[in-house]
Amino acid sequence: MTDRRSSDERFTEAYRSTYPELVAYCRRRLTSNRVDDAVAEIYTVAWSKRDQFLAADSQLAWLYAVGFRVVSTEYRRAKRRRLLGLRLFQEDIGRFVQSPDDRAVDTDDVDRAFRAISSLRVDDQEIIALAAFEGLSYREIAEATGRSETSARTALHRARQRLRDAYRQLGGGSR
Amino acid sequence: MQRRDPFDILRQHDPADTARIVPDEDLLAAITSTRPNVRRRTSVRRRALLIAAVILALASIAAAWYLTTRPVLTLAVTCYAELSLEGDRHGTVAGSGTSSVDDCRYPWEAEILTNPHVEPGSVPDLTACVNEMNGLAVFPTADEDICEQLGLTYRSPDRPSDRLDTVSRLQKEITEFILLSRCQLLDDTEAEVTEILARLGLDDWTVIRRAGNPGEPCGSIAYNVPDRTVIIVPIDPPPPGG
Repeated sequence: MTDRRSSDERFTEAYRSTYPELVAYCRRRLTSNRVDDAVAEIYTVAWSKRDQFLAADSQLAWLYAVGFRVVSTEYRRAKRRRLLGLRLFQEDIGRFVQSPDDRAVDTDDVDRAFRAISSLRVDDQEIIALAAFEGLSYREIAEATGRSETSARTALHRARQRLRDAYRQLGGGSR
Repeated sequence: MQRRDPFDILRQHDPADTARIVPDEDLLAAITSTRPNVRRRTSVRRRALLIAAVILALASIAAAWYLTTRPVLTLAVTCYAELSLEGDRHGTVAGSGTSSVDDCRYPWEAEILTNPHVEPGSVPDLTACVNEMNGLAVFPTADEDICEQLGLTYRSPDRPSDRLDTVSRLQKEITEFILLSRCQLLDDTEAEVTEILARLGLDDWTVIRRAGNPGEPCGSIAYNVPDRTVIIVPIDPPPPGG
């Protein structure tokens, strides 16, 4: 059945339903002073291309695809200016204390896991984060990263392998 | 011995908490108060700047062609709404699509171009011709004779060109970067262009920054393909709200 509501109404609904996840996406990747600007920039792109955005199979994956370009630009800018502009999960190292899962996982392992991901290349970090934190399916990861589903599956597999290698080098992986 | 996959550890320790994030209604109002025609005018203005720069580059390419008889690269694409060089049209820059008509699919899908004989939002058969500026002119018909009728040269939709692909990728990536922000600062633009050139293996290309004044902090781009040069042109920031 055709959705007869105006694109403004559908955009508003999409905005409200995706906002918390998109803010979380930006918070995971950017310093707090850059989150609001990034969110505004991503939704401005979505509004200007709302036909594409509203027609996307996964609107969140569509936003993440724009978001990654925004974050990558921030990262390159920060790197050039030697600013700590991007979180890249480094601020999360040592942040976690006694969540319910900590009964099974030593907080040292959590620290090591965050240090391991922060040591990877940015595209590896992104694909791992999309799967681990944003919880995207392979199809959605493919949409968010501009790959085929098969390529996304392979890229995630390899990134996870590199994550395990980095984790082991930091002394994790066995007890 | 217990082995934990770090991926599983990360999955269980999301650093962001979405539970207390409430949609920012002020931001929504600010974004949606920007009417489509205003956005489009801004978009057209920005595209016009880019296309003007490309046309300047094309002029130098054409001159080089006469001197060297080397093949000329096709960079600018004009999508026409009717089988005529008059009337509505939409200008863009050649993308990295495999077909020379691909770049004109979007304006039809987005209803930027309309024609009474074409269902709104659908893409008609498209035929590409090469115009006198060596840009592509794409018309809504399957009839290849349209090119000859309009004094143009037919261009096969699947004509390959590795060189064109690389230069198109360069332009596409730079265009995407420029459009990411209302004003890409000159330093950032130069660094980004340098990085894109390196990534695409265009080691023999150089970046030139034209002199500007303090009122022109934003970067726009021009190309001199025969000289393998990307030129950064300082421009005014776009007006507020654009």
